[in-house]
Amino acid sequence: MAKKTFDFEKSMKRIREISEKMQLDELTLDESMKMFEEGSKLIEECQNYLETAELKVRKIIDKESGQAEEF
Amino acid sequence: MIHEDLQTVYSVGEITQYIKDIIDGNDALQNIYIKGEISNLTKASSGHVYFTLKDKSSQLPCVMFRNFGFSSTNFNFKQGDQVMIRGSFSIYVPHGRYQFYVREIQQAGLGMLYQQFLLLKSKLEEEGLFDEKHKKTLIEVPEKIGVLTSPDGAVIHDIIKTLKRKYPLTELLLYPVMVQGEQAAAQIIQGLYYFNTNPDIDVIIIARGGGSFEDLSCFNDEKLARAIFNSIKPVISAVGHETDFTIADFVADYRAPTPTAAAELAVPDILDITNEINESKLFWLKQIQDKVSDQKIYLDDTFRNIHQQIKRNIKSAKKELYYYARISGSSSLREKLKVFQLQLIERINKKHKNSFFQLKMNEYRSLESLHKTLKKTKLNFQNNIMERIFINKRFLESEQQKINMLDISSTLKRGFSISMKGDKLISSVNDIEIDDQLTTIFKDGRLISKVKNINK
Repeated sequence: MAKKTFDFEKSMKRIREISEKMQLDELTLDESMKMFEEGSKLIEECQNYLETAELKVRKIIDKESGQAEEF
Repeated sequence: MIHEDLQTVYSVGEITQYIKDIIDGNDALQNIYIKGEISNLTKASSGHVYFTLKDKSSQLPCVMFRNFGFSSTNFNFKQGDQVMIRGSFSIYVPHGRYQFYVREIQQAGLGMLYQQFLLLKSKLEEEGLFDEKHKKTLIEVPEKIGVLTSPDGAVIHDIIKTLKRKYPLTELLLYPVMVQGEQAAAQIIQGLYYFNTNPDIDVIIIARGGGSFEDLSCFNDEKLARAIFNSIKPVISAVGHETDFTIADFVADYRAPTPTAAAELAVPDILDITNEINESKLFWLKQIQDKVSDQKIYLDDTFRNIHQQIKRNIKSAKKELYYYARISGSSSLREKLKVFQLQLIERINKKHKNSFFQLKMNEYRSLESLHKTLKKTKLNFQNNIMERIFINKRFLESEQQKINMLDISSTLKRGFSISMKGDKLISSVNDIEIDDQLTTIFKDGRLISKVKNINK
């Protein structure tokens, strides 16, 4: 299986973090804009991920080695 | 054809009583145990309880009399319950009906197995294996879910169906185990070990469908209970139906009434996540818009102040211009001054408006840096305007002189002359004093003279 380049949970965590920081008064507009750009990118990635996701089901066929096959 | 005189003829009551005596006198039918399922349950207002005990092949009418120590109020069994009853057969003569008179009732299968279950439950409970403080929390978005169940049957398919619908972003790894019989507990323990040593697994589901107390007894295994307790990964137990409880359910971090509910519990809803993501962006935009409108208010104020300042400057410039116009006493000069004034005001306004327009265009991107540089540029801008007004004033003054000259040249041609003191026109003897040096302009030249005498 290909190594994942996108970490959904981490992205979600960052999105929530941004939402929290965005509420702070001391955050300058410039910083807000930068965060917005970063967040928008994450959101796009998450949306793509959500759209393409498909449940994978595998069954272990060899309990010793943990070898599994599509179920 | 029945011949009465050849046969003994009984009345209904006689023969019924006769049969009753036989049954009552037969030890094989007295004080015996029968097991079956409760149906047609009636709790009479008299306090007696009536039901039919049935199994696949037959049914038996049963009665429990209040004076036997039962009452419809403390009768805890319900329709469909598997029970074991103790009592005796007899016949209720008025109805000619045989029935079973119940002396004692208990849940069926409450033998050794149930006793063991209760013992183990209280033992583990005392040890603290069921304590809330040991319950692990579920990860919000599991990447991989380990399922311990039979690969056959509805359970695994219910779980797959639920995950596909609610959160298809995950991966399900099925570790097939027997869910009934002697080997079941050991297999499930192995599965728990396997999933605990597999770092990708975020949560483990142990599931099986409903069954009898005996069928589920492998989930009342002490070793399995300890394996669940020792699991590093959170365990959701979904064994049997909603009403069935096993030791595995008590010790697991979460108990789900059905396999479907276990899958529901393990994952978030993809719709909730999608909504959250979409709402985040809107929320951010709102935050930024609030910040921008704060900045805009600030900038608007600043520009309004500058605007006021410019207006004041223009006003004072205007005053001065009027002054020159007035002292020059010339109407055409006034006209020209007016035009020049308008041009000047327009130029200043235009510059001002352009800046303001550009500001609006770019404000969403650059309000912040504008805000920072504004303090500096505000001064420069102001100075610049002031300088422009000053230069224009100087220009105006020199223009005014030229205009003055043009305006008076026709008068000069007619032989008149104009006297000036410095760069000021002399229109009255009150403007001069003795010994003042005057310049007198003629149509073809100028002379400089000294005042010797003034006659008023």
